[in-house]
Amino acid sequence: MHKWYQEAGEQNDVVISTRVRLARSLPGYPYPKRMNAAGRQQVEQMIYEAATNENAAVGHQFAYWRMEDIGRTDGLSLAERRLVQPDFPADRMGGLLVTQDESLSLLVNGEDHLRIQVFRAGMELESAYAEADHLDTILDKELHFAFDPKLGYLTQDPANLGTGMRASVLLHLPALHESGSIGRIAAGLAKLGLVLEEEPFDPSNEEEQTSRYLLSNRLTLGLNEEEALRNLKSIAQQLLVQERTARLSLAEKLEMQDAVSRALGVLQSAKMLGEQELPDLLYRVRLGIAAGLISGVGVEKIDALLMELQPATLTLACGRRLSQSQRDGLRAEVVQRVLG
Amino acid sequence: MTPHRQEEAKKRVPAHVRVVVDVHCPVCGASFDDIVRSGRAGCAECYHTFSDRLKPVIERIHGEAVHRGKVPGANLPQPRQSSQLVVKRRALREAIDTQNFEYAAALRDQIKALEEGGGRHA
Ligand SMILES: [Zn+2]
Repeated sequence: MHKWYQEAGEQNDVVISTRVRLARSLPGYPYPKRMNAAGRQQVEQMIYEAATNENAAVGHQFAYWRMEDIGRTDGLSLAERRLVQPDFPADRMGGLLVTQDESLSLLVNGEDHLRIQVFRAGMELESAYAEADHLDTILDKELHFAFDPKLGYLTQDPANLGTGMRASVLLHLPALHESGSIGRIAAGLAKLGLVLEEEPFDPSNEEEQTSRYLLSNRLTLGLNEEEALRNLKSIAQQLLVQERTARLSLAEKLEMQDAVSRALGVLQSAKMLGEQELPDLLYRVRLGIAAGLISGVGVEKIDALLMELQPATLTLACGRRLSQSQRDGLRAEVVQRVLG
Repeated sequence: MTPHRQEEAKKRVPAHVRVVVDVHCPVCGASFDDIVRSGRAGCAECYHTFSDRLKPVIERIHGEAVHRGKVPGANLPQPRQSSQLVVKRRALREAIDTQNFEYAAALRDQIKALEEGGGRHA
């Protein structure tokens, strides 16, 4: 089954992925948190019907997850794949419609009645927005989203008023991280209405050396979608240039070459790979590939491994319950199929 | 405080702050306090119900900006007013179905206003 995160995206030496989401709500219904189960059910039904109506030209086949009866591992895996917030399955209130390649999804009864989410590998802000925009237009014909000419789309959080659009790029910035300049850069970006924040792979793992950062737009009112995307893209481009420049000198250092080689060595020969140690090792190798120190494999293979080897997702792919050591063993096998 | 000073103090409070203390949103039942406490609107209608008092809250986040992005239905060949009517009539049906009579009454007024406005321009 092909997934969006297996693709080799634009500028993927630094840009891991792009996400665009549109927050929408239905007029005449309280936001999900203020609604009872019957009301939420009604909203879910309306959105489900609009999205699966064959005459509406949505043109997508969606799998439908209801959080009310989702299994624990399935819910955890959706969160691992960033399709839902970690607390969303546990709240048991919402639903998720998702295409087979997982690039397009509809989150129902989360913070807002509906969030349209699009994922792309690499830097793909325009095409990701175009897809979300297209689906929004089709669904609006059925659902008539709550809108005010001055305030724009009426979202639960006033901070999202206006376009209701949050666009982001997930960046691998090991060299800027190493140089210690991220804090200063982030402070400068905040003044421009952009947010640059750490995106740890596993927030519960304090050992993790995070080198992933999420760059997103904060402003939604007073500028249109194209302007917001253009701002975000131009800042992302500048960060890419800085990161690449910093990588050039980093790649000459023996310490860094050693760290990359050691990581590759462990990944190629370990019999067991734990979930906590895996991200650091794979991200070091990812940097080694992008810097030209490792050849014969693309960074997209690393990104796919990072996604697929997360505990719940790996368990689901295997199709049966695994003990921790079985899982660690399987992880090493899968890694060596790619890096062997 | 002298009676005179009390009068002066009252004058400094904008009139609407006193008269709307007990207003609840007809759709979700939220009061302005609920919204301030949670930092979240209760429903889309809250933005209209409490528009005066939410204005400074929104300005604190966004400045005095107004929406410049996508307008729903803009790419459809539909006269704005009639599409508003379609939306409101549909919402009215649903409000009646769900026995949300307070909201239904508000919608009925809005529909009437739209119909009368449309008649003048026709
Ligand atoms: Zn309300």
